[in-house]
Amino acid sequence: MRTGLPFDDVLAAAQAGAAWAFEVLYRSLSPSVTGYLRLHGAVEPDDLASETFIGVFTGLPGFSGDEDALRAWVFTIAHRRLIDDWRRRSRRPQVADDPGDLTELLGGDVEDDALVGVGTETVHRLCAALPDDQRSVLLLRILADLTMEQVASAMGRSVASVKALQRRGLRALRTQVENAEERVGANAHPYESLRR
Amino acid sequence: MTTAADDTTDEAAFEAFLAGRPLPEEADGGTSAVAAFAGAVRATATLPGRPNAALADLLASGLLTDQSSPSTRTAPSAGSSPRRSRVRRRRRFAMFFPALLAKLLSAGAVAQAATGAGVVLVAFTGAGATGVLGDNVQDTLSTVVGAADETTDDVTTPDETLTADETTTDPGEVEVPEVVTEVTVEAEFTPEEWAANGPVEGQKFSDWVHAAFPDGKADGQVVSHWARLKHVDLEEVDGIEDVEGIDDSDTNQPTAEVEAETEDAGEDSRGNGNGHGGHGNGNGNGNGRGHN
Repeated sequence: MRTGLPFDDVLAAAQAGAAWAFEVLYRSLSPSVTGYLRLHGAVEPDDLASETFIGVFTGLPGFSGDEDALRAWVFTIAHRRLIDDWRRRSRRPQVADDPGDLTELLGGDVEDDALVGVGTETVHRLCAALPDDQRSVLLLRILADLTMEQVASAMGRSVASVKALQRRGLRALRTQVENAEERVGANAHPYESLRR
Repeated sequence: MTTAADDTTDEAAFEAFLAGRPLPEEADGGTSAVAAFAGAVRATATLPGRPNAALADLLASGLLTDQSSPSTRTAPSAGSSPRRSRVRRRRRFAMFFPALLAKLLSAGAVAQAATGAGVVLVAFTGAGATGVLGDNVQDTLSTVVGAADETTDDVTTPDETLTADETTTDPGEVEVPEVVTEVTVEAEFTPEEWAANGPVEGQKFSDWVHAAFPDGKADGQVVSHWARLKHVDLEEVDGIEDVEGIDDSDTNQPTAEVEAETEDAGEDSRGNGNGHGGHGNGNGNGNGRGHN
């Protein structure tokens, strides 16, 4: 794992209920899980991530697999919690209005902070323009580092369907970029902040 | 406008980014933007979220010390409650008697002892049920019977507790040896019965006399009476001389009066015999149902 500890030891300790192992897993997986929920426009991404990890920790004794399998399993739970949250709120997720707590990301150089802020806001805006399924596929592939098959399993779809969603999502992103270039001109790239 | 070739290029660039490879050379500005988007997404997810109270407690203490709500699967192994130990004792107590009964029934030589113990137990419980016993004994009996009834409430059947390697057989399948309880207890001698019954069939007259009166204090009148009835010459009976009040006259010539007494005595004898038979134990239970 990223902490340098053998995954099998951490998993065995976590399955036995050791707090330190929970901490290791949480620090390793929580940023991407919380980011996934936040970029999906979850109203309370931190609470939703907490519910996800409580479910993960209490269900760990029944888990078996390697680190990739654990990551896929955690994001499967997070995705289902997100769907349940959408259904519970009975409304379409509000994406891009809440770019998250930027104060946590900022600090130090003012110019860099501004660029990060703009970049984060740009990412949220691009994600908000994507349909839910396309956004899920792209975010699960980017943040969770899941394969096509793992994404299909997490979303309850076929692999072919996931491939199609990814293709359409990437096309939508390119279309947004091209439209923005046409509006502001070729010299001022609208997503220049993403390239830094 | 996005073409099919652009889609393929974007997908290749996207996969290359995910795999950590450099972007394809044919990537244009749009493709670069897609890859840049992926990088920016990862950059926004670098900090863990704020755990809520429940998760914070879990991260702080884990699940090792949380015994507040043990599951139904782990709860029984947490310890032995007083009720559990009581139930275990009841089960041992309950399985003891069926096993003992089965072993006794399967042992033919001990069957008589088992029957005798059963008779004693039935008699004792019967007396206890009627309250004939003393207060102390009655209280003890009530306690034992109450405990036995209590053990039958929530205990398992003996079949569940007996292991396969135990040689105890199922009591329900044991062929119970037929025990004939011949009551050969010699009746306590009473002069009335002796006088009324006289010598039994096949019994020597002298044996009858001496068996009844080993000390030689037989009633001479009774002996004479039965000697006349049996047509026995008392002079030929050994040891009869010690009997007091014997009348050996006319023993071979019964009179009409004697004949009449004989008939009465015979009836009396039969009457006494039937009377003793009436002392049998009346243990029949009235479970009969009326039939239409």
